[in-house]
Amino acid sequence: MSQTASSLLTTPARASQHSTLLRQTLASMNQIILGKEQTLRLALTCLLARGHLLIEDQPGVGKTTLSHLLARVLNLDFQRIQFTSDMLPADILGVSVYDQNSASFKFHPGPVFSQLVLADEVNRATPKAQSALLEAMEEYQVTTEGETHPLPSPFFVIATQNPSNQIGTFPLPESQLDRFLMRLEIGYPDQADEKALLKGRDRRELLKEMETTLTPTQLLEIQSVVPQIHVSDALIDYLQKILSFSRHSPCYRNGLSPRAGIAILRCAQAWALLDNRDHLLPEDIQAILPATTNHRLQPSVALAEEGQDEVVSQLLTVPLD
Amino acid sequence: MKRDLAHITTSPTTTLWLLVALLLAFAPHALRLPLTITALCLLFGLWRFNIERRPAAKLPHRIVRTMILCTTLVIVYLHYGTLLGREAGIALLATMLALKLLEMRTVRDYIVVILLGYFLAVTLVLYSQTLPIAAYMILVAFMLTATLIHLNLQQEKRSVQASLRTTGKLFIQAVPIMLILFFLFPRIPGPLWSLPDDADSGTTGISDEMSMGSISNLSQSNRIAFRVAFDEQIIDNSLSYWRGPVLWQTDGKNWRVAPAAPSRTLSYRPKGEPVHYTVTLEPHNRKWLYGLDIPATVPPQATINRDFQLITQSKVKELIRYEMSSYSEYETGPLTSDERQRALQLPASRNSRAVALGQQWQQQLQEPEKIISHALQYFNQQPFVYTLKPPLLGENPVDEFLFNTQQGFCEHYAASFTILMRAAGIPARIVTGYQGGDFNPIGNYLIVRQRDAHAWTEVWLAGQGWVRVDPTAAVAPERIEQGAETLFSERFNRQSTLQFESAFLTSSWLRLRYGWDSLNNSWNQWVIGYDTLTQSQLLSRFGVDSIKQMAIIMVIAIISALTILQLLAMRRSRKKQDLISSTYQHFCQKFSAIGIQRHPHEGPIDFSQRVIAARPDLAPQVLQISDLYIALKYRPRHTQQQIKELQQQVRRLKL
Repeated sequence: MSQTASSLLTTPARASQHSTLLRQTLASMNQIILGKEQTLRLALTCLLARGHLLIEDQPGVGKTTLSHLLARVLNLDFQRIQFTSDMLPADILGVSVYDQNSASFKFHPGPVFSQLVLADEVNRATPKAQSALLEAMEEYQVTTEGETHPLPSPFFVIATQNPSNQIGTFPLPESQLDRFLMRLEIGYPDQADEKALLKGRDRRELLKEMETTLTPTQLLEIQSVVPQIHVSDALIDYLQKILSFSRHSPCYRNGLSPRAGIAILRCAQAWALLDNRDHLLPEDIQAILPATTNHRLQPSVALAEEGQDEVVSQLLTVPLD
Repeated sequence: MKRDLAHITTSPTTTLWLLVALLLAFAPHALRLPLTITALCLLFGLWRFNIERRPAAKLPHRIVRTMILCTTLVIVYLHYGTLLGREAGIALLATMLALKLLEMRTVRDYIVVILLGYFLAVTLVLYSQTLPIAAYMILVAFMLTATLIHLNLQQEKRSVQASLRTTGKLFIQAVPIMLILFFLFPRIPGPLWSLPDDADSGTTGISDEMSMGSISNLSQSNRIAFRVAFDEQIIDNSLSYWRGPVLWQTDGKNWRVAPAAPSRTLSYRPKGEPVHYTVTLEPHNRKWLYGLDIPATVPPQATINRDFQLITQSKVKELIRYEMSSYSEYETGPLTSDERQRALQLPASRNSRAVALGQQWQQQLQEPEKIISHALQYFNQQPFVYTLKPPLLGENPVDEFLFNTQQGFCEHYAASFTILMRAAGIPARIVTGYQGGDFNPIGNYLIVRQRDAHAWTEVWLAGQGWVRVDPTAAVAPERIEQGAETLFSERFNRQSTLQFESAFLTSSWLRLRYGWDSLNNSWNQWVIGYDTLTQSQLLSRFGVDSIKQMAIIMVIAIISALTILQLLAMRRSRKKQDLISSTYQHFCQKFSAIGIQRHPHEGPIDFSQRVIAARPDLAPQVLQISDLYIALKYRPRHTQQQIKELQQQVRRLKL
């Protein structure tokens, strides 16, 4: 690790090249979705950390546009799966069909065989269909009828869900939520941005005219750099304090898992890379902490009345030293 | 793990360092290797040096290199007739290493050359294992390691001081490991590096043959034969006869040993108290040890034969150390008829005048004691001269010496005396070895050198057995009482015209020499002489009896040493971290005094931004401190200098 980290350090030209690329990517993303700089940045962070993204919000705030946008700027092939309550796993993964010419079953890949998959309204489908997708997300491969088919690389799932209080939803269980690296809420734009949005051209058309800024190879390369960002022992201690707080505090029903700990670390490293740094700072962890933990933590019964955000922000009060 | 060398680059400075280090490793060999080989190695080195100086210059083409390689191989082969063995092997190693310089391009090549350089340095011990060589090897290893570190440093941090400092640290850290390995690593019985066969050339010392002039040749040599430390009192010079080969057979010119049955038992009746002492014998490439006349115990490496000579199984090729005790008074038993016959053997055709003189004495005096004292008187009263440079003698050397030249060294007197005794019917033989020695008052031990080589006679008398008679003592008693050094150095001093000044110089020079030899002696005793035996003795003192146990203990020792080092390093880094944190807290406290409190969860950047928003005037200082703190606490590498700077900056900050 130290060897590779030093090789990262000794190639400042390459590192700054990465950071220039990322800055361009962020800039062009901000032209499409207005006033959501922080959210876009988090979405890109999630992707650099090789994680899947869950977006939960009201319909019409730009969830689908965000997915299209990411697919476009990163030049990934893109499939959208609209989840419905009568959906079957084969609709996602693909089916084997009897081929008369070769007298054998031939596998027809489903929409999940794509570099970026948008799983729209994932909580409308039954748990059976949901779990088909979630397994693919975890294993980076699809196994049907005894055959294993690898998924393309990079592979990135953006799932959107409507707030769980809506009618006709199957909420994702905690174990499956844990597989998403981040959960983001987009929220309504503020007045000025909404004005620009209303006055401007159709976002979908703008998207089509956009230039891609990153190739999939560059993305893979940047992804491989993320784990090399230096994390000092002090920060590992800090992260452990956060995890321990979540496990012992009366605010939460369940603590953060070790997987969540790794998720936080990777996201923070990706965040630091976006900031063009080769080392992690406490601010990086704090910046990504709400997005990486709010779908994993559930407020305890006593605090159920409080908003989820307030409960999660308790984590930010864990002292540094 | 695949090593990533991509970030390491080479530079002319590294190459220069490498060349200097290699030159150092090569220098002692340069004097020993044939001129052609030395010239070749230097030529290749210079070639590389020239290439390094001119950036446009290129390394020779592969075809050129192959041709040079073949030529070099042929040259080495022609010189030695082989490519194996110590001399040829080292010549090959040196030339190939020098050739490698001509294709040294990548970092890997540099590392290969540096490792070969270590190897070349190690070959120095194949010639000499003395203290100066060891010190020199450490110097070479230091230079090579510094080069290796210089090569591995990042370009921007690369400096001569940094690599020297790191090397120094490494060497200091290596000391405990070296000590553990030295004391605990299982010693291999016999020489660790079995010396190749051609390693014996040029060793001088007493041999198992003697002719007139062979010992006086030795007396020119200042080389040390062995050193002796006495347990109690040092014995008198006139008694310090160090017994070596015993010569029986003669053809009138040359004397040879007779094969004698080895045994471990001693067949004599000792008188008085034995003397205990320890001998550290320099390698002399012969199959015997030296002991004070007459050995009472036999060291484990040897057996004793009927001539009371200590015989080893194999040639003494490395320094050995053994404990001994001896009796200076003794009574050996009767002679066998075979021994009597051999002790009276005389060549038929040679030295007839001497034989006649002996026979005349026998008829005149009858009793052996009288004959012996008469013979000694004869040597004393006739104008015999004891000299280092006796004239050459012809076919009847004893006759010529006794009646013509009358100038001789100890072997002349011993040989003539023995011939005379045999002619007079007294069984006699020659014993060779060393006599006297040079007492080192600083180390409190006796140094016996080659120039102390001596030959004396033993006669057999009924009722007493073998009795030592030294005819040299009758001619030059001061040789026996004061030793060879005083005798000959006084002669030298008399010639000196600056006698007064030289007296002072000589005494300080002597002191220096004794000190230096004492140092060498300790080195021999404790470092070179630390063999299987001493190791097991040392370990058994700690209750360790077998190699297996020792191996286990060694593994435990290494693991615990590494753990301790790791713990120390961790403690040090924790201390450092504490210092960094407390300094930063001091910085935060300064602001809390003016109402800007740092939240316990607040990161350094967030805090500095808040502070700057409140006190824009302090922005540069705050940013600098905050940057330093981040570098120290969160970045992979930092220096002591940065900690000092942080402390200074915080101290200087005035609100």
